[in-house]
Amino acid sequence: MPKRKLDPLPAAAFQILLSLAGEDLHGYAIMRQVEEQSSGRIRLGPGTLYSSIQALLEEGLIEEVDLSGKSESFDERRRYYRLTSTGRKLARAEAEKLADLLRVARAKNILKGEYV
Amino acid sequence: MSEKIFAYLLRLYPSRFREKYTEEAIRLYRDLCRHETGLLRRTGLWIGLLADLAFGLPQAYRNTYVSTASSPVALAVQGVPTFRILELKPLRPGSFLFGSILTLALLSAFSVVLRHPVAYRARSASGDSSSPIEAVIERLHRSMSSEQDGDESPQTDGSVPDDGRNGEARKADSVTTHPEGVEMQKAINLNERRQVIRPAVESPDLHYPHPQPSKNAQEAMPQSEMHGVWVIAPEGTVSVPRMTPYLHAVTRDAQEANAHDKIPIPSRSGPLAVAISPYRAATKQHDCTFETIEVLPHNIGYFKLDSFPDPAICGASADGAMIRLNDTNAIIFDLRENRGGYPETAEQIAAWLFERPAAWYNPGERSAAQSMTHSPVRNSRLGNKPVYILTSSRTVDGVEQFVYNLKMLKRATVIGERTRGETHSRPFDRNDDHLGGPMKPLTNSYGKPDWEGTGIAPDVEVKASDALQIAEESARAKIERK
Repeated sequence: MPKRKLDPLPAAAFQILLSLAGEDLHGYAIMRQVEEQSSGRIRLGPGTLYSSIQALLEEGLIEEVDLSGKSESFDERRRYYRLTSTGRKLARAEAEKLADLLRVARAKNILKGEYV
Repeated sequence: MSEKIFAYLLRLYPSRFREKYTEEAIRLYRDLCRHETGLLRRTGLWIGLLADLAFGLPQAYRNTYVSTASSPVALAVQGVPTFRILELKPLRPGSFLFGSILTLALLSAFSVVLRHPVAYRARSASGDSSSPIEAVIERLHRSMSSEQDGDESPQTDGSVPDDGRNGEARKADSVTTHPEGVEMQKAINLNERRQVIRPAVESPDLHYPHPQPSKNAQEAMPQSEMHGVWVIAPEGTVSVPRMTPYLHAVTRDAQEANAHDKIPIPSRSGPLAVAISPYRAATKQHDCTFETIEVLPHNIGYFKLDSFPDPAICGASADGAMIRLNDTNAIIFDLRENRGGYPETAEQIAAWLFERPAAWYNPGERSAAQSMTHSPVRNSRLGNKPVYILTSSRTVDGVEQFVYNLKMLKRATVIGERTRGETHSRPFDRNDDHLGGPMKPLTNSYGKPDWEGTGIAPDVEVKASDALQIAEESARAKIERK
């Protein structure tokens, strides 16, 4: 079985999957969402953003959607992306993996209670 | 300005990335610029963009950019040919390596094949349409190939042709025949030989200097004593075996036997093209065979030349030699070791010895109108100087033409031994592209028999080894008398 391009899932790709978990977004909105959900610690540049989006598209984790007439904020000049079911499963699996790590870290008193 | 710089940076990305995302990336950059105002924030933006370049580029080049849209093939009308891209994934480094190795291997193999000698194959549209001559040659080549491979397989028709002669005759032929030729002639049946040889024997235009053997050949022909004789031509003369069938065996005259060559016979007599190159190289290497050019005591010029080389190669050298001897009081041509050569060179040198054009008999010419020396040669001072020619019994062929003409014109004194008496220069008649032979020579303009078969008797008959001394003494005496 060929090695998947996004295995392990890069942080940027995971952040994009998370940003799309709530709604369909275009590139700039994804960048802002990532910046917001990471509390400003992660800011995707255009190169990283679109190359990651392309990788996610190729892996079938996200897909382009046509929102014309379905959304009031739709900008026809932009491309919108949606999380696929596969992408959602992968994002969940990745989150659970991180949660396990978090539990371990907490059990070993590496993390204080204020984080979770 | 900064947007242009950003656009330039985007050129670092793969073309497919640019096709798909350039517009969006620039729009995103504009959005960022609207939010990031002020020098510090704008500087921070650019630092981030440069860092993004470092992280984004590798990822951009790893992507395949396969279209995720539905395939246009699905929309194509059934039965109508369409084009589609089957694979858009970038080649892996291993693929490049494999491709490079494969290409190098193929190029190497191609080079080896090109340098590998391939046996000549006769051109024939089909077996039935080839001429009898081509069929014979084709079988000859097959015979040679099988012999080289060590294949002792029997003849295709299952029998060796019976030439109707007894064992003695065959044994005698085997002495005069090339060993490979004996084997090769087995590949040719009697009928084929007859088809090839009969036109050669019966042609009324062909000339044989020895009437009896020629007559024997024609008389023997109907008796089916057909024993083809195959000989391998000397190295460098022709590239394929030369056949001198039947006539060679009967007349024992290889020079006069008709030749059948795989290579089309040239339209006029002379060496085959394939023989010219090695001949020229050898001639240049041996200084045009001009052994000695010097001035002897009493200002006697001495010119020893062992052949009359190709004028195209040595014409200038021949004139140069004559210029060196131009101020001598007499000139001696030492032809004792001369084996002949080009009649044109002989005539070129002889032209220096006349003050006006002189008749020049050339048995190789078809027209008597061309047989004149190109005299006078400009600046020549040899037109009235005594000329001596040294000969031996080994002096043969084209050089005899030189000696004969100068003697008959009373322009030279021939000293030494009777020449050998052979001429290989005859007008050559092409029966077709592959068959030809010598024609009857022109009538001798001197009204006397030429040297063929008899040689040229010297004016002063002495041993060849003494000829130079006699010539020097004679020249000195003549000079002193003047």
